[in-house]
Amino acid sequence: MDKSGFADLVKGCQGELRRFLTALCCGNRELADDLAQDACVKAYLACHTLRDESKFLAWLLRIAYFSFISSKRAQVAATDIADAHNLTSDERSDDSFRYQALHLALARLGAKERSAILLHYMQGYNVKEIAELTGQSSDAVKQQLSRGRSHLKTMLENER
Amino acid sequence: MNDNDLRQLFDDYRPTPGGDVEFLEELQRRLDAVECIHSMQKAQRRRNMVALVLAAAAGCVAGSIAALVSPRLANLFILNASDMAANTMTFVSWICAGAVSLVVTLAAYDLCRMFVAGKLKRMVGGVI
Repeated sequence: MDKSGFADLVKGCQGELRRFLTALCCGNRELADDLAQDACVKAYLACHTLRDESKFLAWLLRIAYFSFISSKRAQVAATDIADAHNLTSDERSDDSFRYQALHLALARLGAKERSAILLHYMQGYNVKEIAELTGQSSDAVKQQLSRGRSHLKTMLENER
Repeated sequence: MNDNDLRQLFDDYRPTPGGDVEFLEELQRRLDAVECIHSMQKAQRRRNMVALVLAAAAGCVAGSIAALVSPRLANLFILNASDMAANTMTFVSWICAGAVSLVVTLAAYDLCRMFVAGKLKRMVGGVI
């Protein structure tokens, strides 16, 4: 795949990728875009390993997920909550206010639970697909989904 | 709040992303940088291979010449010498021939690498 072909593929799905990463980064758009760029460059370097172009988005999300997880290793857990709070008082974006409760609730989930929840509810992947995408067992994903779901529900209901 | 509510919540989640054009332009810049590094690495590998081949050829030539010359040189010193001294001189002359070809090979490789470095510097200067 050449550079322009790759750029065309990215153009078609960059919206989905950035939306997923924005939610994963609890509304921190700068970090989300940085991770998206990082994932795209990694994907370009490995694009010879992609066999089915129709699965490009899933493949890109997988790379983005691992970029996110490795970036999380360098961060302390409290950063997300602080980020979500900071963004709510940031007047640059109306989204910060609109999605304040959701970002704060997501920030309180663990990175893997958050990823599983977003892949399932936002991207529409089933348990098996999420397990393949994140390189975990189906049981682990089921557990993360169940735990994440109950935490999210509790937190969002408390916000109301 | 049930499963459908959660699904609806994420369906409605439409954060306004930063500019698409800016994102794609930045990506294009990064991809260009990757391509530039790739082409530089490729050129360097090719030139290293050329340097290796030239150095091997220079080593072969130097080794052949030294191998042809060394018995004659040894003969100059062992005309009136004993057998043991003659053997020693022959052995030393072959060691010298080997050393000469090794030195020539390494020097040729270093010279070629210096040439490559010069080319690379010009190439980088041209790109950046």
